[in-house]
Amino acid sequence: MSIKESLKKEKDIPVKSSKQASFGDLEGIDAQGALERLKVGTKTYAMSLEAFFEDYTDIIDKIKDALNRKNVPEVRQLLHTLSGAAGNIGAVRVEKAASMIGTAIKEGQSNLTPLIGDLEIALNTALKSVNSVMSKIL
Amino acid sequence: MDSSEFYKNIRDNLRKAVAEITGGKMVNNQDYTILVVDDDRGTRDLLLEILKEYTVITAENGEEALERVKNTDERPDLILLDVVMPGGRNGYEVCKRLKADEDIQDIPVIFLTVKADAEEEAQGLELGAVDYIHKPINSRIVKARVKNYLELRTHQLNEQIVAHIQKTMLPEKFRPLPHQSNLDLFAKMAPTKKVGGDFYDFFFIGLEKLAFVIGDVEGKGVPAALFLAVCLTLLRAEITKTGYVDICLGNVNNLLILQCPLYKSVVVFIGILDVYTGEVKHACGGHDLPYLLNPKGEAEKLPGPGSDNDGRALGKLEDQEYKAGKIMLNKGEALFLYTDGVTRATKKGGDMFGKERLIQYLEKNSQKSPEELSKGVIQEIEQFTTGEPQSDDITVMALRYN
Repeated sequence: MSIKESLKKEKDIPVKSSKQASFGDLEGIDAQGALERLKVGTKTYAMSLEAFFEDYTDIIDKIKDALNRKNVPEVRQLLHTLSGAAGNIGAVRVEKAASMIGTAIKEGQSNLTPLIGDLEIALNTALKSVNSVMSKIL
Repeated sequence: MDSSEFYKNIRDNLRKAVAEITGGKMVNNQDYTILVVDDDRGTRDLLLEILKEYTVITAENGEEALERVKNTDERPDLILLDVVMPGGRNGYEVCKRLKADEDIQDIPVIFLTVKADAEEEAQGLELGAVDYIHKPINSRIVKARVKNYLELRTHQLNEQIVAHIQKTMLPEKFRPLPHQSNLDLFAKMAPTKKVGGDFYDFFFIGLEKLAFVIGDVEGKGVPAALFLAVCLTLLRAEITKTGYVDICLGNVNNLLILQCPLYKSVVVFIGILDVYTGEVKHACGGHDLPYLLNPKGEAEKLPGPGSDNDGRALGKLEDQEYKAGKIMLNKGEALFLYTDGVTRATKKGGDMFGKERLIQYLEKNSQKSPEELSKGVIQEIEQFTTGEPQSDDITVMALRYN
């Protein structure tokens, strides 16, 4: 059974249930804040965490690749999308790191390597947390 | 077909007409379709959940969004559009394309984006988007914005329905009246923005008789427009069926009370002209009586029963009796019919156009053709009110017998 299938079998539990605690201590992800802001059930939230995990594991490679090709619009688009997705699920550090690179590009900063390093660390932390919560639910 | 079946048909047709115009919208939230365009799967899924009280359809990019919007079966009532998307076409370009298409430009667009700078946001609004929703998504803000703009959209649709009903119900082709060179007729309406409920109609009964109608239904907006459609249909049916103006008004009055549960009233003047003799039989239900214009340049109120605003509006009291009046139109004489929007047209400060000004204009221009006369009166009112928006429709009809 895939993660998704097992999640679909879970009943969607309203925000203010004890289940919320299982998202509480995720490093790099403010799950409680996200749940309060989104006002969705834990199942929906878990599914968006899973979607984030599946869709953004290779985003750093994509960003680096676009940078090598000097395709600035593509880099900005990737960062923008990542920042929005991370913000939605409460991956605050990823959101900030991505938008900082966006600002740096706008300001014409040439050496983006350190900032991308920061983003990579923040993203890995968030993805690890998502992965751990997924295996707990499994 | 008996009469109850006949009126049931009218009601069914009206319902169908409304469903057609609105696309069956406006019943409950599930009937609203919202298109969410975002390249991020997580955002799409979250919005599907947050907006689950509505029908939500999604698109991953601009091209797909444009495809979906063009499909009339699922045309959205609102579009949430991501600004930054891969594949060349960003949200601003999609918005530009939407706003350039006459069929879809009215659909409100809300941009969905990570907080942008003011310059960028202004650019989006200048393209015709109604608002922004910022990421990270906040459920309460999304729901409230969506609700507000859907309400606004419904209001706009209502105005379109009303304008559509009024426009399509009233005859527009004045010339040539079939086989009649000795008749000239013209009517013109200057509707208010909210549609005040004026209507007119004219049609031949056989080859010899021309029926003409002018009226004003109570109320404004969609209920008034539907009631207007019912009144027009009933009047047309009853005039044709009975051939008598007084019996027609009596029948329509009872039918409105007994068969049409809209509980509204209508003031109306109807006439039937014998095009060979010039005889006009007329009846009035609480409406302003027309002016009779003679070639000497005199305008006088039509003599006969049914005084102005005598309280005999149709749809109020059952079994009301109406009396028929009769005049002979001599060659060169004309009738000028008008709704109270004419005399009550108001300029800034509260002055009304009034009957005196109308009579003055009619007497000075009594030789003019019905078209010139009708357009001239409306122009005169526009000059008087200097473009001040009016609360009621302004409708005129002129008929000259030669």
